[in-house]
Amino acid sequence: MPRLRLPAVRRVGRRTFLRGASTGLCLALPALELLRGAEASAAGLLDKLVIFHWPNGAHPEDWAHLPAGPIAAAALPPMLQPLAPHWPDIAMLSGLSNVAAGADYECSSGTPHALPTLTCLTGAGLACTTTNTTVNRSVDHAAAELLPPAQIDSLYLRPYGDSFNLSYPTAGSGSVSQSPIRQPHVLFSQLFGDAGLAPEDLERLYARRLSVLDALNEELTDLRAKVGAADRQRLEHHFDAVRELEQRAELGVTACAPPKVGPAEEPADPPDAELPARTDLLMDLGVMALRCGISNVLLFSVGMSQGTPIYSFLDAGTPPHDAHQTSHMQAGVTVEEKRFWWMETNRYHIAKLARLLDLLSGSDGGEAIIDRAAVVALSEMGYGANHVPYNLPCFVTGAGLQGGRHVHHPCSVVDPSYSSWAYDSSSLFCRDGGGQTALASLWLTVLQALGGEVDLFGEATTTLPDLW
Amino acid sequence: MATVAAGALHLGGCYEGLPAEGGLATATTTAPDGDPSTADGSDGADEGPQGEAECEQRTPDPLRRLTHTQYLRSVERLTAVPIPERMRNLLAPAPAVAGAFDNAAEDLVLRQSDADAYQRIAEYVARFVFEAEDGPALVTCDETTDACLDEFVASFGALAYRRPLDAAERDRIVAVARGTENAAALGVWGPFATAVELMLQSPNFLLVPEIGEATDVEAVVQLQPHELATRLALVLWDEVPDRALLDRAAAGELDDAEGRRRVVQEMLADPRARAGSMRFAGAWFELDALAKAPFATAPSDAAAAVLRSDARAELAALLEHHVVDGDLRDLYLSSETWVTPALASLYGIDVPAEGNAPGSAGLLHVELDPDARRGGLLGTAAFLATYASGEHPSLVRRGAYVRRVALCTEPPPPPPDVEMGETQEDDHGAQPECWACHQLLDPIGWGLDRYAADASLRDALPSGDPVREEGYLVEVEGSEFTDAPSLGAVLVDTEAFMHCSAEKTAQWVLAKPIHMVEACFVDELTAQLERDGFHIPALVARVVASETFTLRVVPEEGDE
Repeated sequence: MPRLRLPAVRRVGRRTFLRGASTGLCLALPALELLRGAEASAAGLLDKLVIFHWPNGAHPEDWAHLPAGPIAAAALPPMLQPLAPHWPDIAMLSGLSNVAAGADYECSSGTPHALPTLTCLTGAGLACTTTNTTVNRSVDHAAAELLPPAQIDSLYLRPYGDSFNLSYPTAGSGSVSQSPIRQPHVLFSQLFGDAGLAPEDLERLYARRLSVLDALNEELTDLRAKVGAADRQRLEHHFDAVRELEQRAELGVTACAPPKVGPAEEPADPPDAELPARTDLLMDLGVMALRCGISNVLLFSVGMSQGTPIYSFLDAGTPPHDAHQTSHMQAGVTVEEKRFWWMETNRYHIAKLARLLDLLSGSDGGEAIIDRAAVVALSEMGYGANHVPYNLPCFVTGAGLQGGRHVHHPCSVVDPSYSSWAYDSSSLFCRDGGGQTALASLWLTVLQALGGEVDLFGEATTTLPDLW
Repeated sequence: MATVAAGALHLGGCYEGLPAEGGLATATTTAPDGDPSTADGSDGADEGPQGEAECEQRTPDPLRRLTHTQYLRSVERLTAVPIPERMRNLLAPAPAVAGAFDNAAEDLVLRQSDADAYQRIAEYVARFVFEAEDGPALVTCDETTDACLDEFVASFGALAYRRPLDAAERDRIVAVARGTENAAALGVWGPFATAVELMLQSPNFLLVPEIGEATDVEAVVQLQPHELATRLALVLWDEVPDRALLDRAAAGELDDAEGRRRVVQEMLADPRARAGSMRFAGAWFELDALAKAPFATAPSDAAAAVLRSDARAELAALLEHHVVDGDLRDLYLSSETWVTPALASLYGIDVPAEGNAPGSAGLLHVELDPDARRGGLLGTAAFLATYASGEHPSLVRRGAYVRRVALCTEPPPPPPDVEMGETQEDDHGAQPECWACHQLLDPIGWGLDRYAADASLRDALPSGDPVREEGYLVEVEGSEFTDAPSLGAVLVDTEAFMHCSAEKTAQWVLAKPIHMVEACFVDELTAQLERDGFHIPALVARVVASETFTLRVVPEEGDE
């Protein structure tokens, strides 16, 4: 799999746009400095959000059991060693719990993996009937609304899988998730599909698109007038989709020169052995999109929590089971083997996080954007073997955050019957007796750091201190 | 063989553990919350003149979009432009929903990610049509005249929207087409291309509005002729109706039962019906999922990829012969199959030196010996090798597939906070709270234990222990089986099999998840199944020709 060569991207600036709905025109303007971005940098403000996700939790002895307070990089356990170069800028947070997921297990849409996934970025419990689930809007989309307009609100990438989606663009009943992009050539088309055209052709293209979209809005309005209330609710999704396309056409093409050659076509899901290469390629393109301002929010997930491949590419060899079963302590014969393979699985996930941090720091010669980005890395479960959404592994960095430390937040696993045969139960589940700290509080903190004047996200009204 | 009546398993209750007495709790076939069917008065509902399924459907029909395959097929039909794989891939599949096929209306909501794909595909197709060397075949009038654009919009629009455009609609499209510029290379065809771009992104094309006409029953509307034609074409052909069908609808041929029956029979005889039926069969038997077997023990990734592709082809051939055509029971009972040399080698069977099965290039038709222990869906690599991890077949997931597609009695997933045991998965019997549900699954896997993770036959497990030789269906007396063919024979003899076949058909044709299909409707279809010789297209025809199919139950606000 040839690695896409990243060009040395210089921020030329972005076109300002005219809300051309009445004129249907998108005028070609000379490239301007991105004042807002320059101001933002100068003021030390954040204008990017990066969320990195891995599924099925993490081996607690390799992170949560570290002492609270400063930790030297040399003292990091094997699972976290890939983070050593960035460790001084990383704060590890323990004790955060997705309390919303714990509320109602009946509302699980079929499997115990669904509830932690659906609520991870949305911060609110679900209300559901047998036909329909109500979710909150997820933090990536909430953040996009606060940040400067971009062609793509939230760039959600994952190298395989079509279920267990984290991102919800709109709140409400019957809300649909956003599907991640998994094929590099599809991503390239969405980011740079128009970019091969000459400027006058582009201008014509966007003018035509805006005119077409205008007519589509009118057709939708006519249709809305003819149908009943329930159908009108569903038409709202269509109106939203048209609005998003209008936004893209109004903002014009990316100011970046795209790579000359796009990635080769690949099938929807890669063979297991090619998973790392595809992950890397998607990551490269995702960071490029951030640098180019095509999106200000990157949601990068390394995998689904079920239907996982076998990680045949691990340094330690091929595990005897797929990644999901490995998180259920099924990989191997002895307890030690089973713990080992789960730790190795997560060491791979953490290594991908480290690679992302490298790119954000400009290790490839491209622009370093980590100083303008709030970065959160987490999993939707704590102890994945019993799907518990408490005490989630969580790392935060970016924008000059002071790191090299472990911050423990009050955490109490509510069900005293939680136990494990694979680990010492008393040390596995946090039992401070000091109440819960909602994951949603972290998301509220993120939104405020991005400049949002918000005091509520999901069910959280409090924030976490001493981060960005 | 003594059987237990279909629906005798109250599966939600398997969490509650084993009942005090032997056997399982019984209940009538019900909605998932366990309430008896609320179909008061519809037991023994009147059958129509030829035994049509006339039980009333009261669950709502949400507004839906075209499925991705319907959209792609329709675009290709309307424009005669083949859409390349890289563009088809722009449409992401929606997440799977338990208990529903991917054509369930309530899940067919337009996503933002799809809108970008529709835009790019529309622009690609429009360009392709109008840059054609000999000029566009779609336009039959003289493009240099003013009137031609109007005429083209009217005629293309009538097909795309499945109804005549009113003057305002047409004028709007023409105004946009004339008022903007398309690519310079298109020259005089620019406005025509713009019109096509617009119409292929129109909600009137992408969505399936069913406005209908009011009836005496509140919230129930009678579909207008073109709306019924659209429903028929989407189910039977997996694409939008053509000019001929729309004309027949407009002429009143769908207005009565006899007319509908005639039209449906002709539609089924059309080659497009094979695509529609194959779509159903593929969804029911999860063809795409069964094309992803890991084949982890294959000598190389390339060899595994070949096996995956061959396995899919074999399964597709079986589905075509026994679900699209023929008798559904033969999908489990047949002693013939279609294999490649690689599959034959995997199965350990000899194939004849020459001979291609009709219509299945590259596949060799084989009559199987009984001691090959193959034959039917359950002996295929596609099924057996998909549910495996590394060198271990998954007993539980093989059992779950059988329950799900053949019997419609798959138990729910484990409770959320259950941690998997220390022991291997075949020791669920040691834990009573697990066994309550696992007794439905594991014994099926036991009877298939002689098929290794790659579907080849084996005498021993990787650990050296002997394979389990016998399996059974816990709720069916005398159901012991020792391999795939004998399991198939057990299955087709059960009432649950019949009921499930009717259930799946209803679910697909009505585009609803199973808990939204009235139980009485499924019961009526079950009764017809034998009369129709287990010929699935005949069963489909019954549903689409029925009065039920001409009505829409309009959802209430908040239903969604």
